[in-house]
Amino acid sequence: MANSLISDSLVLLQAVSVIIVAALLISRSRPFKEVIDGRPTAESQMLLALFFGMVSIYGSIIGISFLGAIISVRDLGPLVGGLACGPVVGLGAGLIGAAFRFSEGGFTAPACSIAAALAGIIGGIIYRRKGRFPGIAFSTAFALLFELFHMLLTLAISRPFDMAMDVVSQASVPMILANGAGMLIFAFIIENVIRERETMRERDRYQMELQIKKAELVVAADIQKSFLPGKIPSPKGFDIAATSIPAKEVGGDFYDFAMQEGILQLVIADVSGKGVPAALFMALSRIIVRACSVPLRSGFERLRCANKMIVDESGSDTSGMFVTLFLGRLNLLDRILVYANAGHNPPLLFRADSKSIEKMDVTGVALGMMAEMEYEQRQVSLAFGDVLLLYTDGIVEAMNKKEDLFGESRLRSALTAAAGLSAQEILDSILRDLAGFTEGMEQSDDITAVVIKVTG
Amino acid sequence: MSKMEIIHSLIEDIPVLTVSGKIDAVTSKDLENALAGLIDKNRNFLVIDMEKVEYLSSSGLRVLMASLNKLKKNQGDLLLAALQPFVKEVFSLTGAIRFFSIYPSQKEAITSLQR
Repeated sequence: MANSLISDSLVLLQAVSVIIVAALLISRSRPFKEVIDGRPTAESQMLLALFFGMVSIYGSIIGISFLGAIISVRDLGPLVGGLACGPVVGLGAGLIGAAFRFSEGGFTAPACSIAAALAGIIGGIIYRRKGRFPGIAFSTAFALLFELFHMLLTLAISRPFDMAMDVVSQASVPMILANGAGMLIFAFIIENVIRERETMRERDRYQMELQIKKAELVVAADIQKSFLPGKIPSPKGFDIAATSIPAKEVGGDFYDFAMQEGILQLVIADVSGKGVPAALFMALSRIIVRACSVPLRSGFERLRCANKMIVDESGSDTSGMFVTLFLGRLNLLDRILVYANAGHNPPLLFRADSKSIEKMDVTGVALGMMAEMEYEQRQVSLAFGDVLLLYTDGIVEAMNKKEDLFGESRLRSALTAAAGLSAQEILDSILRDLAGFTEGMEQSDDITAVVIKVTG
Repeated sequence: MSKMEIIHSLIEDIPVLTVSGKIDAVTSKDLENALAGLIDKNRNFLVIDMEKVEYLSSSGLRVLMASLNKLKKNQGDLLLAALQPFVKEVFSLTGAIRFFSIYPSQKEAITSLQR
């Protein structure tokens, strides 16, 4: 008795193993993935029907003899085929299983064949109704109920009734349980694969969106670059260089030049924050400053106009956005620079004769903070060899690994050391010093600088 | 890298945010949420103790400006206390210092509200 329990259990275990392997194989197959994705080809459905039909035949052949009763898991193949792949697969697998069982003969052949076919058909109808595999709990419960129905069917149509009763009373409990357990295994594996596919689809969608956003940012960056002066002016007697390096694809820094009637207007500005919000505000600010820069208007009038327009038009009141901006008007003949500074990092002026540095201090509040602000105007006279450096806080607030800031004093040293070179070389030299300081730390803010050297 | 902490407290029934660390582009969003939460609860007078704030970027200043404007619309105010030199420099450079009530210490900020 103990021996037969062990050997019968081993046979049962073997059947379970075969079912697990079958479930794993089919759940990873291309036809099954097509079903999950909702677009199976006719060929795939045929292959799946064939596969689940084979599972059904295996269920018939193995006919495990368990403690004197024969347990068949013939209905399992059509059940799973129908529930997981729809009516076509269910019906196909059911007919294959039924045909095989019928060919085996015996007095329960009609009942068992009908049951196999019905398993596939009903499973398929459930799939159609739900629109998908109905889940682990539902499928397992359905398998248990279906086997119960199979037993009743056997009693109803198999004759002689006494023999049918004998078979059913011995086999019903183990068969119901075996088919339920088989379904549990199948359902568990199938459900996993379905979830995996869903996660993958979501990931793919997310990656697609990310790619679109990236592509949009590339376009935005190109548009923003076109806002910067395409050509740096080179008026006689002056050497000018400029650069702007956003921390992200787009940024909030900008510089601008405009030359008219012997006067070079220069602007450097830094919008609060960085990235897309700063870039939008930058585009607006730049055009407003240009619009306010009509001839005959002095520097401080231009800033007052720009400030009012930004406050009125940008919603800076709600967003708290602002832009620090330095505006200079350089007379190219007498080299007098008139300027107004709206809360921007004071530009540095290297004096060639004294080798000292002067600062061009703030003369008013950053633009966009509050309407009706006044901007004082100052002026300074440039001499041969002097170097004017306009910059944004991305330079002085650049950090190294120890979280020290580059700071104004390092910038002064960098400027002093390079002041004898050309404007472009001074700019390159400062950026090199900065890179040496930060040692590859990620750039955390937009970096912009303009260098103007008096050469004649 | 960028770390900031906010401790909420209620002193003499006045909400006080004690902020420490760096207020930069990343952390300023947390500060924005903390301030918005209080403003939504109709707390119109708020104090931020900035004694332990070592860095304030323009993103951080934007958040403070936006909150100040909202509070002023409700006849309220945003009081700042104990600014470190670097942080104070950001306020004076941009001119934002003209719009904020700034106090040497949290205690003095609260006293001024009780008057």
